[in-house]
Amino acid sequence: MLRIILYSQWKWSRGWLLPVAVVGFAIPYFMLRVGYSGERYWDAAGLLEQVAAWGRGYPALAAAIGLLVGTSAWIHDHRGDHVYALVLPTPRWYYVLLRYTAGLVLLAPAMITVFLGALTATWFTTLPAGIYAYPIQLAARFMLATLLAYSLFFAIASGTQRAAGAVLTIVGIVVVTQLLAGIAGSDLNVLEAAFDRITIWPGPLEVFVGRWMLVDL
Amino acid sequence: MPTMKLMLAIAFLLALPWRAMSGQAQDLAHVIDSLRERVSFWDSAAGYYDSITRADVDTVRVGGFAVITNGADLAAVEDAVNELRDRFIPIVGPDTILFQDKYFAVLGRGSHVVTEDIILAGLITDNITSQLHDAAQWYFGSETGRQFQSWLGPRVPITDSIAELPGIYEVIVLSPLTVVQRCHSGDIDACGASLALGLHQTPEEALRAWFNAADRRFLVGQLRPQWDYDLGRRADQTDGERRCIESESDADCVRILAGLYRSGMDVEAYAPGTNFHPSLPLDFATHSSLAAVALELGGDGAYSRLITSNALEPEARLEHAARASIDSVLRTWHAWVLRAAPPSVEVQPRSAWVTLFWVVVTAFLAAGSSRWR
Repeated sequence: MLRIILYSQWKWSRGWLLPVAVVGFAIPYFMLRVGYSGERYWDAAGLLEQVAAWGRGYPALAAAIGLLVGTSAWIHDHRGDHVYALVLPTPRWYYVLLRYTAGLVLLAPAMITVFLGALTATWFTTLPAGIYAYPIQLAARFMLATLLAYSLFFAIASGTQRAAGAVLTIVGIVVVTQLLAGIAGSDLNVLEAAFDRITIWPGPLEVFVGRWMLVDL
Repeated sequence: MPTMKLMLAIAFLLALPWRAMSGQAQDLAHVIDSLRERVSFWDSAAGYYDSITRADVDTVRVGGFAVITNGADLAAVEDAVNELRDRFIPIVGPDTILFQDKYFAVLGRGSHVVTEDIILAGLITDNITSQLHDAAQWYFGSETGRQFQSWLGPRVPITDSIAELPGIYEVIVLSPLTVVQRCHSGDIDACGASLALGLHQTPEEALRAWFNAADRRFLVGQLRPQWDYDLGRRADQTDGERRCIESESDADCVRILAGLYRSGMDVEAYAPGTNFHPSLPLDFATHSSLAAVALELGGDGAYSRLITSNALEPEARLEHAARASIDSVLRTWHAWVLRAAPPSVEVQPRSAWVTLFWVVVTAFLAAGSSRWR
């Protein structure tokens, strides 16, 4: 049964999974080629700036992959009013587990290509003194971020409209409060506080805001 | 015909001094041009200064500070001056007379012009504090004396120069120079040499103390990074540079670097966008960070001692400001620089566990959803 669900999810998402995997493979190559043009040692600082700038692409890519795989797992169920799932002789939790596992398998190619891209790009680059490559660490961070993004979007997509509405309402309240505080001339910064709360330890999205550096000191 | 040859010979002999005079005339023309530029610069500065007296200006006075302003929000200027004083007081002391009658003219956009008792600073209405901070660094830099300033660079550090230590860490770690790498490893004497400290009679002596032959060759090799593909060699490389790099003639390397040292700090010609100088192991920002550490160690009055010290050598001034030996200042600087290392690229185990925790939580939430019930 897992194989059938995996095959169906692969058919729904292969159109963009392959391009995303190619992008994941190519980012490290451009990161190093664009950033490093010679062996003059003041280039090294420029290289680090370029790597940091390109590195911002990784959390965005992880979030995009998580969003696409997480939501596409449920999109056809929603369209078919869950008839297919209801006729299966399985409890809901088991069906969810199958869908979740199939999604995890589909995340693997993107994770592997990011790792291979990072590995090959650094393998064929002569780095200046004092700078080292961290392809394994980068791939590990990317794997965790993708996994988390996928789980979050999978959970939201699997829920009811009421649940999605509740999430949107919370976000809306935060934004409106910030706007009102701004109009009232208050120094209150709800958005920043909320962002800090979810991205700084022990916030759930901490892994997204770390150092996405393929090469570093 | 012999007469013709004789006339040609006489003409040739007459042409020699004329040619020499022509060379001298060209040199003089350069000097005159340079002086004209200076006159034009100071004319412009004087005009700028005069405009202050003619314009409808306000003066904001806070303690010893006086800021002349012609359009900026007075309250904002006052806040900015107060903030600047707060930054200085911890190191200068509240009773300082350093700020007495120091005027900051905040008028329109333009580069800083430091005159006898006034700084003309470009107006940045949305960040007056930063502008005054910048102007103060330039002003007090000029007060430290030419010799100290040639070591320190154009700016005297204020306390928040400590915040620049992560950048200094990066510079030190990335340096390919042997002396800087030894400093990074904890050799305090090498740190002193890396920061161009030590008494040296001539630039040649200093260059031999700071660098080994390989480093000197490396530095000369960095001077002209453009490669001429048609000629198959570096563009504009002089014979001396080729002898230094290809024939490993150390005398040529020293002569070239000493020439650069003597010719001043023409930084941009060699490393655009940086304050790296080929004759110094580390840049001026690094020197400034050492001075900032000395000021921190010195506490109250450190700034006054740094500026008013009569010592010529930078290390003596720093010792005076810090009230500690230069070794102690260097050790503290080294420790603080290492402490400013950026966080590791690796995912912290706790971060990985938190992520996995949320993955499991969201998976449970999805499994427990009542979507089809």
